[in-house]
Amino acid sequence: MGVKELIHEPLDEKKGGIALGIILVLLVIPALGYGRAWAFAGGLRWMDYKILEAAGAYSLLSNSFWSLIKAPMLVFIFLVAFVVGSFIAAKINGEFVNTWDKSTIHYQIIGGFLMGVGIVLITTCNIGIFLNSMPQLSIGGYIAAVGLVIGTYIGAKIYERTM
Amino acid sequence: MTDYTLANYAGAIVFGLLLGFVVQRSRYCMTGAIRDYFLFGITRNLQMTFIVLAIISFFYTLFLTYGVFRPTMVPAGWFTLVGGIIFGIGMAIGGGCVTSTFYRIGEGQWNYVASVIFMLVGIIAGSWLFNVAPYAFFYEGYTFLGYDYGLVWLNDLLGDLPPVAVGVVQAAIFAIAYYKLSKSEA
Repeated sequence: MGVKELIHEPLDEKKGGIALGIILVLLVIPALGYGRAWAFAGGLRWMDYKILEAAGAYSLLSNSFWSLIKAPMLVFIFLVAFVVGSFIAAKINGEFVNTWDKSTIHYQIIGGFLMGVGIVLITTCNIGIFLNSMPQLSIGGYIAAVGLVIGTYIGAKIYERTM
Repeated sequence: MTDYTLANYAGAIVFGLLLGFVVQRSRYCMTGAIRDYFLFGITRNLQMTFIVLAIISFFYTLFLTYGVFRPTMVPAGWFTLVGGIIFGIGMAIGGGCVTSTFYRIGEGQWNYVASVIFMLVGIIAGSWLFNVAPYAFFYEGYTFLGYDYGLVWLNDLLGDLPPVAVGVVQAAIFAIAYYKLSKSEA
């Protein structure tokens, strides 16, 4: 796979899977800087922590969710860089769309809220379960993965009926 | 809390940019991997997921065996299953998980910003449950199968095997799953 192809050609499932796999292996090696497996929920939790701190919601921040599950700014920076990376990829390949699709906004609101509640209970996002905890053999990861598959099936059926 | 160095932040930026680029170019979507299979029988994203899982199951367990990096902590319990179901419903209805939501924002699909705002609202609302029923979820003193905080790994349950011994088997299962799926699609 050449650099030009990587930059401009859409990656098929095989090349995309191998490229992602290699990046995710390098990602966790501490000597290369980041030293953590992929998950973005920590970035969202970091933002929420700052919001709650600014609002003085200390009784909430002292509960076991916020006190046991730490959210470093590092993950937030990783998340912002990810958005910038996808922006660059879209922009240089003429795929930047600049749209606001009002017709699906209620799906994004309900879906986003449910994902937020889910993040609290599984302590991470779906990537953090499937591509982080499960490959590390975490029992919590396997249990959450079963839940995610069941939930996605239910959600897909709801989506199908309401479309 | 751990103090991070400039090298850590540089790593976060470089890998974040790289990952964002590759995810956009491969249009990888975890929601799509499950939803498209159930609704349409399309396996493109599922095949990609199996390839990634085959690679990282081996390397992550190898690294854990030799203490290269610290494992991710996900408590196990009934709440983990329920949380997974709630999250799964949310990502299928919302048309994307956290990752695909963010790469779509990078592509300029601004309606996904609403999804992010309500993820933030959902996390705050969900965390309030820990105030209402503090001992219903994970807390100091919580155990699962005798393991503190519900933090238990499959290799622990299989007689304290080194992680990579189980990881090799898991990697092989995902590799076979990919092979079978790609053959049935061809």
